[in-house]
Amino acid sequence: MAIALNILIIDDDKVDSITIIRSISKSGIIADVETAFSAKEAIEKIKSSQYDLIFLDYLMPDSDGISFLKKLRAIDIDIPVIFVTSQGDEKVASQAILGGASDYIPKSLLTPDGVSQSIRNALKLHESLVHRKKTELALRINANRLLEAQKLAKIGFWELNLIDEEVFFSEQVYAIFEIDKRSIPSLALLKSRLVNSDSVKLFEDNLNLILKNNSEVKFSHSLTTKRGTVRYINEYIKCLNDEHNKPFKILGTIQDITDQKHIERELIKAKELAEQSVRVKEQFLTNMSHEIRTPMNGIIGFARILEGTNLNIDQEQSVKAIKRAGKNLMVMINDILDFSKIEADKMVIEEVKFSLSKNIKTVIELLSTIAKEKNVKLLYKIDPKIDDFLIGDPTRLSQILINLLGNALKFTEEGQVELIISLDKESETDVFITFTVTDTGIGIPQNKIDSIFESFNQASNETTRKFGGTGLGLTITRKLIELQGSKINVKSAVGKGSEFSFPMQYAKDQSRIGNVPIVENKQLTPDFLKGIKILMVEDNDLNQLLAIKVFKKWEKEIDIAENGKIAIDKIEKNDYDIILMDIQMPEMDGIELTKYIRNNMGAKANIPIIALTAHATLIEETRCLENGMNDYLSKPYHFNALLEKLYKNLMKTNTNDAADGATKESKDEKLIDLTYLTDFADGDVDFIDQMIELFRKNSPIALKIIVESNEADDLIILKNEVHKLKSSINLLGVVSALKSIEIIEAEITTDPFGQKRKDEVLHLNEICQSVFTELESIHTVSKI
Amino acid sequence: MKILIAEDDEMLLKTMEFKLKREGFNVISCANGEEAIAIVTAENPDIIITDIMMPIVNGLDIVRAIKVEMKLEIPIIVLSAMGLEKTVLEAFELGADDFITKPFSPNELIVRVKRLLVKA
Repeated sequence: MAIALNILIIDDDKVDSITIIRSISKSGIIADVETAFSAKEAIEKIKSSQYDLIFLDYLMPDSDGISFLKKLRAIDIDIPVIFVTSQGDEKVASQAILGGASDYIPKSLLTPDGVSQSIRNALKLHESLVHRKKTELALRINANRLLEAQKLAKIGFWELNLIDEEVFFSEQVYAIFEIDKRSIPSLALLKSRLVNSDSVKLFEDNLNLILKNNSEVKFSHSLTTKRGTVRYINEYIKCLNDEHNKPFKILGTIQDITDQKHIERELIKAKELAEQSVRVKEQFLTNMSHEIRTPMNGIIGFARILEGTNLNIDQEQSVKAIKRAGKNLMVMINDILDFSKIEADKMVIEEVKFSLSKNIKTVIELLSTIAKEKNVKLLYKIDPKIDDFLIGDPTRLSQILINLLGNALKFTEEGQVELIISLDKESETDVFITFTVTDTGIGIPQNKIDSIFESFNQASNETTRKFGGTGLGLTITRKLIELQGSKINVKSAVGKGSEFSFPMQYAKDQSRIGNVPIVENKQLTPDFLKGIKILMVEDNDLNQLLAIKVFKKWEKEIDIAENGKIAIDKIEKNDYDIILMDIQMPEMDGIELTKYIRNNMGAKANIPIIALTAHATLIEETRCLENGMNDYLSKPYHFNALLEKLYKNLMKTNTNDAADGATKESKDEKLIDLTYLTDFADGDVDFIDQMIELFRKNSPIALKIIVESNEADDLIILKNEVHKLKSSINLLGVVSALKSIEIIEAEITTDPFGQKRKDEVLHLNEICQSVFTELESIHTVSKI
Repeated sequence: MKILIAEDDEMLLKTMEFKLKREGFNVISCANGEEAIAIVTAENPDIIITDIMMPIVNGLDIVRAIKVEMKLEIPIIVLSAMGLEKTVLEAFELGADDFITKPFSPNELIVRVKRLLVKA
């Protein structure tokens, strides 16, 4: 059913109105018609109702049709208007159309056909007008959106028409380049803003590229605006081809990414700052570790020395107090350093072989004195089914157990503290065990159980005052447990006691399976030190004094060298059996000094060296051993530990001949074999002497050049000198040296800058130094 | 028979001297090429043994000086280290008569010396 049209007839002539009404109804058009007899009435009606069509008489009492029409259009009433004119008034008619009428109809044609035709035309026209307006609006809205989007994203858009060379810039292009909006757009204008010729070349190269390949390309560079602002931009250009595949348009977008670039730079700066801060922290940690341990070593060491002297009761008590305080301080310092290490993510969990039973026994021994003093039983039980030889971090395990057992003892006044180690399950390669520490102490209130692990927290302030400590112990313990992939559990009841437990997984030490556990070391006596000459290299006078006193206790005098230079001097002038060497020394540190001794001191190059270091880490230990040191002791050290190390390393050199493989045997054999030379000389002893003399004179210099050129990677010099040495070595029949030279020559060819070449040269040097030593005895013999 | 040896490695020089003297040769030695050329002019040796690698004036320069420039027909044996075969080929092009690579057996040296002297 068609919707009725609302039609308004504005005519003061009633007759005309009726005629129109009649025509409309006869035309078949369904309409609701209203009439107005004056302009005023018409306006009111228009304001209050929606009309689809208006018939307007050109002559009205209070206004003429044309101006009325104009008024209507001015107030945005765009209802289609059909002008009703008198016969012959074409002038009026055209004016009406111009004024906004959709159509006109002479009165004479107010027939049903005429009217319906007119109505239909007017409506059609109106429809297309409305449609056009809608489209225009939509277009305008879209254009605005696009402009807004470009403004927000800081993207400009430009276009070059290759046919007529016309260029279009979008608003943002002007904005980004800071060009006057009135400037004529051109590519030259764009190019003139690019910072330097590289950017211009980049732009032009890319333009040529897309023209050639009918492609698109993205690139970035910087530009300087007229006002001197530097911007970074991303460009995107595209070539459009026509139907004959010839380029006819180039499109481009330019996006201002200056902000992003700034942010990028700031981020990089922040990152560098953060990294530097981490480095500073690391360095601080390392320094503090050393700085603090040195005087602590002094305090504890001297207290021990004092203990060993003749003291009266008062003095003994005081000394014991100093020792205790020192030990406490050491524990707290270690806690703080460990805490800092964990915070800085520098805590390393090691993987070394250890004996579980030995570890536990040591821990229990450490705490048994305290237990005895408090009259609390300290018990432990290890499930015998657990493999004793495991791989893991025994230091951290001890640390955890000492903390838990120590706490248990601290908070227990009577009864017992027990450590139980049980086997949960085992596989071919691993054991899964649980450590449980129980006590009959004061217990922890339920609501405080979680917080006891918080850093610096103790169950209550009273606890701190009563029991002391940094409050870091449990925090570190939990962190250490978690770092090893486990979790700590607590069960406690006030007045009844507590239970701390944690599971651990350790790999079995396959190489020791089935072996008997290590026998406890018998207490060493210092007798073996008789007749042994010892040199200690130590720059700190406190540590020097301590060492002298310790050895005095053992009735031994030692030599002290306070720096590398003096040490070298002393070693040259004396025959030491063993050297104790501090690592951390200014100018020439322990590692450098050891390297020097091993490479340059001939017969004395192989003297046993024990490192003394403030750093107790596997990395440090490895570094010492790799650089030629024989053993390792960390400060502060127990005097017995020192004695053990001395024993171990002195006995080693004495038992050199023990069956230990072919390499040891060949080392004992003489290096020089004069069979060839003697044969060559055919009995001419003078010749043999001459040759030996020449070798002794020239080869050390040659070796020096070889070692130096090896260091400096001067391969040509190295190659020549090594080759020259070959013939002399050949003459003296030093087979091992010859083999070494062959290896060096091969390495120079296949892997000139490899480590093997470098190491083998040092090995050759070692052999030659021994050869020189051997020569001395040969020479004297032949003289006789 | 006079042999001129040009060799900067003292030990090697002394070894060759010793062996050649034992064989009855009259040996003159020097340690660089400049001296060697001077000795050739002054002493007119029957055979020259020269190392290639020597400072200032090397073995190749000696061969060139004697065979190309002075056009003398004295046989020259060149000694070379393993990696210098290119240079050895160059020596032959310049006119050297034989070469021995180090390290060598002194007996080999003597055999080669004798062979070249027979030819001459």
